[in-house]
Amino acid sequence: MSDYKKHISPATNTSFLLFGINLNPNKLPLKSFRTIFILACLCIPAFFACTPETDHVNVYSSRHYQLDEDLFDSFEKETGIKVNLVKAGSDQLIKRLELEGRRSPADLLFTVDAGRLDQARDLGLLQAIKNPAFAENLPSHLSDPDEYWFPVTLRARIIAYHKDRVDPNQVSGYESLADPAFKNRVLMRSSENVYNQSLLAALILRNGTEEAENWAKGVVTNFARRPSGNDRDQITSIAAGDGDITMVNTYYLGLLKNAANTAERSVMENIHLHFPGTESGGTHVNVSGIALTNSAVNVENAKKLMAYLLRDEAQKAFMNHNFEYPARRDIETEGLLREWGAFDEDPSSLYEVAQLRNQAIRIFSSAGWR
Amino acid sequence: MLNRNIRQYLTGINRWTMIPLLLALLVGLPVLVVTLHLFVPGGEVWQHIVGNMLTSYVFNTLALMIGTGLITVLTGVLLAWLITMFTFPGRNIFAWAVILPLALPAYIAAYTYAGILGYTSPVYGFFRETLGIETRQFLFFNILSLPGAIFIFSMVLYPYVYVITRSYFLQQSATFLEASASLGNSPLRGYCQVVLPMARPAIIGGVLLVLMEVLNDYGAVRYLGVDTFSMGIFTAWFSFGDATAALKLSAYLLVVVFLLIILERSLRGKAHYDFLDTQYRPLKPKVLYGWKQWSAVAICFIPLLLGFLLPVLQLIAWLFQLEPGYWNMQFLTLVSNSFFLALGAALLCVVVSLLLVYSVRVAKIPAVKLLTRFSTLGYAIPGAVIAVGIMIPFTRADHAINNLIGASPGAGPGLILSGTLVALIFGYLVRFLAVGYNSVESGFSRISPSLEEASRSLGYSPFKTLMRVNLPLLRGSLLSAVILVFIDVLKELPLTLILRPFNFDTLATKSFVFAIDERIPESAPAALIIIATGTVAVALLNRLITKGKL
Repeated sequence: MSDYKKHISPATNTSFLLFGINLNPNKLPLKSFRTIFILACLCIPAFFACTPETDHVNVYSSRHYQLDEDLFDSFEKETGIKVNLVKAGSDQLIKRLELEGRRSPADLLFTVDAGRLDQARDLGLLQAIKNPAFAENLPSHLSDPDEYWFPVTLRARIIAYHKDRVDPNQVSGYESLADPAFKNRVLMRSSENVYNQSLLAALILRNGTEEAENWAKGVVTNFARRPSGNDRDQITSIAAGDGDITMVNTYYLGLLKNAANTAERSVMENIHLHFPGTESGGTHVNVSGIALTNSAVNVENAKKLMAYLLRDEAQKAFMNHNFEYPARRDIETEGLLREWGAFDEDPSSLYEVAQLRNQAIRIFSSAGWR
Repeated sequence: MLNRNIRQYLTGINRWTMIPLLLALLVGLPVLVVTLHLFVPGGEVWQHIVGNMLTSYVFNTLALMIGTGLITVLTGVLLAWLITMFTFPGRNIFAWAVILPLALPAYIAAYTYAGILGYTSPVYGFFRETLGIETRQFLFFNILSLPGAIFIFSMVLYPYVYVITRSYFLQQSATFLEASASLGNSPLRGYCQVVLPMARPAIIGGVLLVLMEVLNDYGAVRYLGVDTFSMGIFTAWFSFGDATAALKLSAYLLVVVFLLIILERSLRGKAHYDFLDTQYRPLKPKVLYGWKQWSAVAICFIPLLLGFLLPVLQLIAWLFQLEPGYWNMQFLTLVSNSFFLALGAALLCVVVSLLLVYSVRVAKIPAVKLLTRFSTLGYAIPGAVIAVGIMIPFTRADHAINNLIGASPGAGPGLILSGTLVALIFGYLVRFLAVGYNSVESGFSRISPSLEEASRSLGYSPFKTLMRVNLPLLRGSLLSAVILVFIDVLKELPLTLILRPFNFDTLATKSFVFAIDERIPESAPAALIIIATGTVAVALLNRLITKGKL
């Protein structure tokens, strides 16, 4: 017992005291080293688990909706093609595709925001599909001009404000957010988020770099608090009195309005929406898009899945369950989206907006928009 | 002369010196890769980071470390002192219950608290409707902030300081305090002037562990929106897609870690705190009465409440909010994936530790000891750094292998190293080897070398000695090592997020991803399983400690 009392270095002592345990060997459950060894061997097959070779298509998706998985399930029931879905953040997906190169198992990349799809294209990760049948009725300014990626759903980034605390006449276009009338009343999420980056890129395209920079600086002066949280947090903060006005993606509003939590639903009661009109350049619209990867092996299955997602049933499901606008122009809006009504879409090409994303990031940095 | 040295070196080349050498090199590879990037010129992204974000990374990381360090020391030492020195109602339960927050990973605590304090939570609803209190988006204070992060980390990490300080106090002789009292010191003065200084090495050791955990964390700071170094590494790696920038940030973080270790060693100093065997008497706790009694109970209860009970209650509440059916095939696969992965990694760690520790004993050359110590450095290195340091050589190796075989894309072995569990398990080995090593080492330290010498002199080879003589005596340490590594792997997030093969989720990554995707109630089942396993482990280990020791 005397070695207990010898001075041991705290690093060892620390771990000794935490991990060094004096046990009575007679009271232990495991009989022998062999048991441990056998247990270890049992784990080895896990490394080599292989899936049977059925008809399949591998999708890398950064979208996080149960609806997607339900749609893939019904696709499998209908066609017998199994959808192997792999979910991760879009940055991680793109990084992985890059590292995997031509040996990537991915057939399709399904992700959010034209900027990301464009980034994947620039990195040589995608391949074009020439004149596919399913691309009929898709808006050309919201698709890749060289058919490297196709929109599946749309979302608008609009202005939401407290109905009592804000005068609707003062809200007209994204420029209002930089208006001194809203000093200390504007809530925003971080500039690291791709939705904000694409919006600023769209503003650069419309109004030029200098005006966009002034706008960003003006908004920062109007911050009620440092950017934090996501889109839904901004809406909740309006209800809680942290601020009066913010920018948010349309589908979040739908999700909040139909949330299971009553407190979340009541948050929406005092919120009014504003879709910027043509006089200020129109409402910024972005996409969730899908693309065929360069390394795709199951090309025909991939095309079938793309067509499936652009069919009537799927597009309507996106509308009614996720509150995302359908990419197909020939489908009429239903439900909540119809309630919100038609709006003036920004006619600029998303492809060109995407080229300006890096500039947008730089402007955010210099404006101090965290 | 030279001949003799060469001969010495040559006799030193046997499997018991080569194995640790190879293992150390293998395990040290990621550290090497990262450290080398201190000298690599950064690119455009690096310039952008240095110009715009580096100061906030440094500031936030430092502030987080200092804030958390201070609060955990205050809480941990206070609790250890109260529980060791005094008797009050529930003290025996508090003695181990207070450790429970260790079962709660920081990232789970982060989003759980954001949920509890959020505007739309029932708790806030109660305050708003019944008590008429409304304090903006979050109740009382904005948790999505640096102070919020300090709060979260302190609440779940103080047990490190508590456990170590308490063990230290338990070994204290009462004679010191009695001497202090007989010389006229009040108990408080005795505490400040005698107990605290003597516990300094233990406290510093505990704080070091806390700070390592803070540096390692990614999930909590990401959710709370605090830009620390590990956030920067992830952002550089994934958002900017620049591996060099990520590695350079990792290198800087490594420097901070090494500085911390050096600081710890120098603070410990050359002081020796010897216990006088002949006069050792365990402390007799003093009974408390009246208000002192109840304030002691309150002081013990509050950290337990904040650090464990509240978050767990909230998670269970979310569980009931879910539609039944989350316990499906997918979820069971998730659980079994996580458990088998953790078990496999734990067993591998323990086997490697065993080989390393035994090599040190057999070889008796100082260089071997140094090498094995080097390979246990992984614990001090944040998981994100290790992951980044592994990913790059492994992917290069994979492409090289494929090119060597001449495989065409689509066919061929594919990404056998970086695309499978191999990279992940290797990452766990690098990171958690220290845990296994220390436990096995302490087990070996209780086996007298004369047993081995007797065995060797009777004809057994070193390997047979290990199997037949040492192993049966080490069962306890091996078991505790497996348990500890198992729990650590189960909770681990940053390394797993980067290195996991695609289509492979663990309980940790799944719950984190749900939280980030704003599907928080759906993260509850995975989170609760992690916490339950952690709780069982804490209880198990505590029972083993109390039965085996005092």
